[in-house]
Parts: sequence; structure tokens; C-alpha cells
Amino acid sequence: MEKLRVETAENFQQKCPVVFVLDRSGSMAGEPINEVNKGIVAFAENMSADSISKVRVELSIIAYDNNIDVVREFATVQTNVDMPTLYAGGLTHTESAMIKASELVEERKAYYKANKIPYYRPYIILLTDGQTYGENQSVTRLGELIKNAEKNKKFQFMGFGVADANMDELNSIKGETSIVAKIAGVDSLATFFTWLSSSIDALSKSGDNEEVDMTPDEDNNPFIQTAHVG
Amino acid sequence: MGKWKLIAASSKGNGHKECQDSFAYDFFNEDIVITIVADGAGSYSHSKIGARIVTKVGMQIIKKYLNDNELLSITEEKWKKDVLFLMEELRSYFYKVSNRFKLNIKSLASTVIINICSPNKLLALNIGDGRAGYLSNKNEWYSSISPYHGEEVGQTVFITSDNLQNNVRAYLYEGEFKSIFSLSDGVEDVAFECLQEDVVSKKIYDKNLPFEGFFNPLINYIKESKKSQEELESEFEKFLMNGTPELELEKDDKTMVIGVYDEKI
Repeated sequence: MEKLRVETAENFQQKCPVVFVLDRSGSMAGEPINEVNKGIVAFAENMSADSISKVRVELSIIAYDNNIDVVREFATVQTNVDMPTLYAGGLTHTESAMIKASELVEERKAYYKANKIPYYRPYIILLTDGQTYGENQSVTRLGELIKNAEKNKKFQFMGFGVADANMDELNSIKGETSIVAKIAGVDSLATFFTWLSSSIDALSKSGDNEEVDMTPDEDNNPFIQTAHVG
Repeated sequence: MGKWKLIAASSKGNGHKECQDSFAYDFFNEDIVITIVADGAGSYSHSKIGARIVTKVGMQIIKKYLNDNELLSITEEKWKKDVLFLMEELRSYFYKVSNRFKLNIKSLASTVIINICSPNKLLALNIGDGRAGYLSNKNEWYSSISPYHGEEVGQTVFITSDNLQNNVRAYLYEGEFKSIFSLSDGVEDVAFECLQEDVVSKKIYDKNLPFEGFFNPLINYIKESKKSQEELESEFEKFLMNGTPELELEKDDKTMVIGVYDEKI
């Protein structure tokens, strides 16, 4: 059939919504926030280079300290030029940022449903170097939010800590299907975003509720003591 | 009288360790062809076995049914009733296997697509996703099943799901059939017009229509090929593997059974 030439159908692509929740509190100032900024551009470069991911993955970004800002609304990642730049300073209102992220995914799902657009379960991906801190912030409530959402299949959570992140807190808030891992150091953030883009790329092409293998390459493992993530 | 010429193949998805799809085809009284495609669910541990049960046991069950029932006398009403019993019977094998090997029945999750086609009658049934269809005597392509899709991408139902009776869909078509096919969802994005935007409402809907630019060259190739069955199927497997850039990149397993009725044979 080498000589067989067929045309292929053109179909609207299902959407894979992803929200980054990025800590820009004071302790992220300097190299960490610079690495995060470079990382999200690299992520966008990888997404936009793939013919399937660039039409399926819809990325929104929340940057937070004691203010919660949606710095990128849900949209496909067609180029790497429209990524926001984050500046560090302030407290760590992780609970408020996660509440905002869960509201964003519910709004997006309502939009998909209204327009009959098929979608993957949304992913909320938290990156922090500290712990929940500030007025009216509760780790217990944050844990309930994530655990209930996963139980009710509202979204999937991934939580990543870097530098002095409180991993006990991240592990305490995770749900049954969450992925939580410690990034080896600020200098591993670039490798982390590369791993993240290949994982999201695989997720956006998966079917049948299949499990996606997110095990990092041995030579490019951004995590501490995690041969296997998940 | 003419003759059906059938080929089938599976190719594992890009990055998959093994293919969890299964297929079977056979003839009954020469002019009736039976095709079965089963897609073992990726995230269930023994779904490959489940897909095999669907094709192997399913074929026995359908042949027995055709022995007991004259195809031409089967009405739509009877078929819709009978498929529930046929699928209950198939599911009882899943209970046997799960008891014998101490497996959770859900770990064997698989979809089911069955076509039973004579040159002028087509019975179809499905549980879950995937696509199937036929070419009419006016050279128009139609779908023969409506796949089940849940709210989220990849959500579907299986032979092992609860409420089997609600998940079985049955169809009967009369006319002249020049070609029939079934395929697992790994092939649908290239071979079918699925998700399309309604020009007026701008809403997305499942058009569920075979794409003739894909199927016409394929059936012409099969019809005209002088190659042996084995050679043709080996070629077809390669085609499913990398016959188009989209098929090469596809992560899901890809399976297709396609038959052409050639009146000249």
C-alpha cells in the first residue's frame, strides 16, 4: 500500500485545559522567578511546536502572592511570544490562588458544555517555594478543596515544590490521584518545565482514560528521589 | 453471485507497549460476513484479554445466532431485542473468566462493534466508542453505529460496565451494500468527519460520517490488488502504522476491518 494515497478528514480538536498556579511571593525574587519566566516560555515553545498540542491544550496562568492575578486567560498556545512575565514580592496566598483556579476550570467547563466542545479533565498545576501563608489562608480547607475536586472528577491536581517549599504541606493537601514532587533545585526548573511540557503533550493525546506514563528520563530528572512520578 | 473481500489489521498506538485492540472476521453461508472490533480500555489491567474475549467468543455467539435465525427474516424489532440477550451471553463469559482467574470483571473492560452483513441487509451493534459504516449502491458512505461518548474525552462504556442493557445500541439497514467497515477510535480522526462546527450555531457536534477521501482510495486499492490475503493484510498493518502522518503520531491503538463486495468474483 505504499502507493495508496488517502485524504484525511479535518476535525475540530478536543480541548485539554491546564491552569498553572505560580507562586511569585517575595522568596521567589531573583533567580527563581527568572527561571520560572524562562520555563513558561520554553513550555509554550514546546506546545506550539507540536501540531496536536497546539490546537488541544488551552493554558491559563494564575500568578499569586497576596494578590491573585489571572495573567493569562484560557487560550491555546500557538506561539511562545504571548507568555506573561512574573515579578516576585508579597505573601503566599496559596488557598486563594487555588480557589481562583478551580473557579476558572468550572467556568471553562461550562463554556465547553454550552458549545458542545469535548474536553479532557482539567489539570491544575501548582508551583511553590514556600507554604500557605497570610490572612484567611487555611491549609485544611485547601486540602479539602483538592481532595473533593479529585473525588468528584472536577480537576486533577499536580503540586510541585522547589527550594524551601514545605513538602509536608503539599503532601497533606493532595488527593488520591494527585501528583506531588519536589524539584531538585532552582537550577532544575528548566528541566522541570521540559518534563511538564512532554507530560501535558502526552495527556492531550491520550484516550480511553488511559494512564499516561510521566516517568522522567533518568538523565533529565528534575525531581529529588523520584524515579517515578505519580 | 459476487463475493466479499475482507482485510483487517491492528497497529499499536505510538508509545504504547502493546496493542489492546482485537478484531475478527468470518463468513457465514458464503455471502454473509461478520466483523468484530474490540478496543480494550487503556487504563484497565487486563483489557487486552477482554478485547480478545469479545472477538473470539463474540464470533461464536453470532454464528450460533445465524444458525438459529434466518438473516433475511430478522426484523429491526427482533434484532433490538435479541442483541440484549447476545450481549448478556457474551458478558457471562467475562464473569467466568473473572471468577476463574480471580480478576475484577472491570479490569477486562472492552468496547464492542459488530457488523453482520449480507449483500442486502446489515445488522450492527455497539457498546462504547469507535466507528462503523457502509457504502451504499449509490456510492454514498454512511455510518452504521453511533458511538457512546461521555462528558470528558475518552469516557465511554464497555461490555463490563454496569447497566449493560442501557449501553447496547442496535441498528438494522436494508439496501445494497458495496462495502462495510469497523474501526477503533484510534483511526477515527483521519477516517471520519467527527467533531465539526455547525456553521450557523457555531456549536461543535459529532457529524459521524465516513470521509470518502479516505475510504474510496482504500476500497479501490483492495478491490484491484492481486496480492495474497496475507500480503494485503501485512500492507494494511503498515498503512495503519504510518500510512499518513496523523496515523504515525496517533497514541491510541488503531484497528480496522474493511470488506468490499465484488460482484464480478
